[in-house]
Amino acid sequence: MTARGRALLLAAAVALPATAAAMLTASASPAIHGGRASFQREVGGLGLGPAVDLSRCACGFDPRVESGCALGLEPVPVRSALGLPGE
Amino acid sequence: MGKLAAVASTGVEALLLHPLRSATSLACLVAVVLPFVAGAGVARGLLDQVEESIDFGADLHVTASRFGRPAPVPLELVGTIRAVPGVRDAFPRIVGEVVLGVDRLPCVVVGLPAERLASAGELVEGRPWLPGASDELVVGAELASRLELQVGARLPPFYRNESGERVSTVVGILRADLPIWAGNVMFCSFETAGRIFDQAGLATSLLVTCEPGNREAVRRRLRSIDELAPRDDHGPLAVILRSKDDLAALLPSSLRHLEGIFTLHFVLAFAVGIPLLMVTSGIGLAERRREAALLKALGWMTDEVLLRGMVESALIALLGASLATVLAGAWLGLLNGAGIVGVFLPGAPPAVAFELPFRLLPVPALLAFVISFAVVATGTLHALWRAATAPPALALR
Repeated sequence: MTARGRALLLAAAVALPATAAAMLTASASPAIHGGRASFQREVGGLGLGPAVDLSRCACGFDPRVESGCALGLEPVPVRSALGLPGE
Repeated sequence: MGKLAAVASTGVEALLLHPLRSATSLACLVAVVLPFVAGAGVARGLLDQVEESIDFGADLHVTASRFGRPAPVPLELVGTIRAVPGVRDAFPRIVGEVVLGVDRLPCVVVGLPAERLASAGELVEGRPWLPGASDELVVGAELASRLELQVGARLPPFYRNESGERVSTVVGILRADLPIWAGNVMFCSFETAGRIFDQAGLATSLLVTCEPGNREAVRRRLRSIDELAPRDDHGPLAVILRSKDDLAALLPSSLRHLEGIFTLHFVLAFAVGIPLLMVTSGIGLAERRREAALLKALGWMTDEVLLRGMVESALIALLGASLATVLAGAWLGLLNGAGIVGVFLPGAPPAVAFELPFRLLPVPALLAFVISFAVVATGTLHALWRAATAPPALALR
């Protein structure tokens, strides 16, 4: 084991956790984003789920738009053959 | 105490004595832990945006249903609602879906009264639609990117209407740092949205803003109004009132359910990762046996050998969890989650034009360290224990 290797390891052992801690501290509290708040005020609140459009699951986009979800049928393997909704 | 510290410091040296073994363990750890830290960060960022949507959205959402399915709301109800004491404002909104382009990209059409987005010019590159102007559109950043739309672009008719179809003009593009739901949206005036769907006098919901402290009182008053359940030839319309409190109670549980499924998958991945690492660390098993036997032959006690292994494992776990956290921050922040967005946001392509929400929290990072330590220590200490408790001559053979 060289002294250089030991110094590099110790530097990494200090720098990596310090960087990670700094990143965690920086994002510890949610910052109120003026643009996002303004947008939601103007449109009256849009979006309440992980989906980015209505095509797969309108409920996943916003349950205020539709409370049911076609993806509830997802495990059915022959859904399209049966003509079931969701595609 | 000094002896213990000296023994512990040899753990650092042990890590450097076998660089390939240490690097392999570190890489395996990062591969297992990184998606977990990143996914937990995206889930938290999304929850922040959901909370904003509830907090800054309307106080009450009025929708309707027939046969237990969503049905449009007649615009006549807007005047009835506005007349209720405690109501500050009520406006109709249309939210529907169209598909655009040869690739049939799904797009969310949102129709709002002229005065709404028109007053939020700073959110738009270009300008919002003008009051009275028809077929002017403001599109989301993601939609503009995928369809290569610029301000001033003209869209050929993409809808059917009995009174005729028109060419639409993109007058603005929404900023990329708005909520994720703005990405695939096409905003337009309420009248334009009505024409796109060929529906007149109807909205998908009515949004009500109440005077401060009057939300529940307004809700009670609205429930008692007969006109709120209008009857036509098909029978009465079932009107549904949802307040912020209803949404706050309903949605986090839904999101936590999704987050729970995600966590469950990763618990399974970790459960598989432990035997996997034990198998991979088997590559260095002979080395470990020889090392432990030599140390025992030199007079080391079994607990000292184990302490050395534990320090080595803790160091690898610390490096692995820290590296995973730093890489997660870089992946989600600098690379905007390229390649992983579609996993967390259904319907999103591998790389998106809108800003991916994320917030890294200490608990998942700490959990990543604990799990990393458990995974590495399980492989290391088991091998060391077996070697250290055997007679050195036997272990060296």
